[in-house]
Amino acid sequence: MAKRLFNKKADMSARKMVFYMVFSFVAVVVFFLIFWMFSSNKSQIAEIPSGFENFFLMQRFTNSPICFTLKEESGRVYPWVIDAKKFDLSNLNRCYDTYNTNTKAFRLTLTYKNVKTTVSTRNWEGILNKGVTRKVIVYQDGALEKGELFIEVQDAK
Amino acid sequence: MEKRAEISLWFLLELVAAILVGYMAADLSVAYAQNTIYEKLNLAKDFAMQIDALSGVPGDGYIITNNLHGYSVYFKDNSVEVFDDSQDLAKGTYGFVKNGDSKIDIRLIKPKQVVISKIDDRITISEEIP
Repeated sequence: MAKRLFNKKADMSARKMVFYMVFSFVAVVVFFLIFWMFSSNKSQIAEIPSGFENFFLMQRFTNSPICFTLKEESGRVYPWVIDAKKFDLSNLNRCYDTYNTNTKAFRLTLTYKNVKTTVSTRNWEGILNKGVTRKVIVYQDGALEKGELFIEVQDAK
Repeated sequence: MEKRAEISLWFLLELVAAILVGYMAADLSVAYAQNTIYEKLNLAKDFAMQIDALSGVPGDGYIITNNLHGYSVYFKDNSVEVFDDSQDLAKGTYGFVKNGDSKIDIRLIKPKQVVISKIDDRITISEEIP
């Protein structure tokens, strides 16, 4: 009799165990699915045209003195004038801080005279991208030169 | 006696789990049905775009948003959350890209307005105009 009861109890515990294992797995999957659907920036509920968002993100490369734009000691900023000395990776990472975020990646190529320099953001990696060329003025050693800034965009992963 | 206690405990745990799952499902369904999720997500995207836009401005400036529908806002590092309360499961979340000198970590509970400003190349967020 004692043996029979023991077996029955063990049987129930095993069934419960299997149930809870399956339930906990399904619950975790459903939980993350709901969060992915509603809290993620991949949600399609309120879509912003990608070109519009790209435009705002690109503006800093030609307008912001934190990036590459020429800024005089007096504080005056010259939009669309790229200071060649500032066009490097450290300045790019400082003005477009992608650390710990899932956002668009950029690769910039500045061409003037016979010089061609390319820098890319930390999160740049893939092959799918769109590009736009902007005519800029490049400031180097006190002289101004005509140049081109080729900006490639890669969507957030 | 021990067996009965064990059964009651399991039943209690199952009940709590069922209530929790039911609450989550109901809360999300209501948010979806009332379109509040759209409002929150749109607001989050608006804030993110404002920060990105201000980061591309050569000088100083600020943008005021006062049509917040009674939601709270949490800006942290590179993302913004819009929510009813801290237990809100259907938060509107969106990412932005700050510049390296800006330290962003501010929670505004049901503010009248949100002011995003760029002063001396730094993005700051507050409820009043700085």
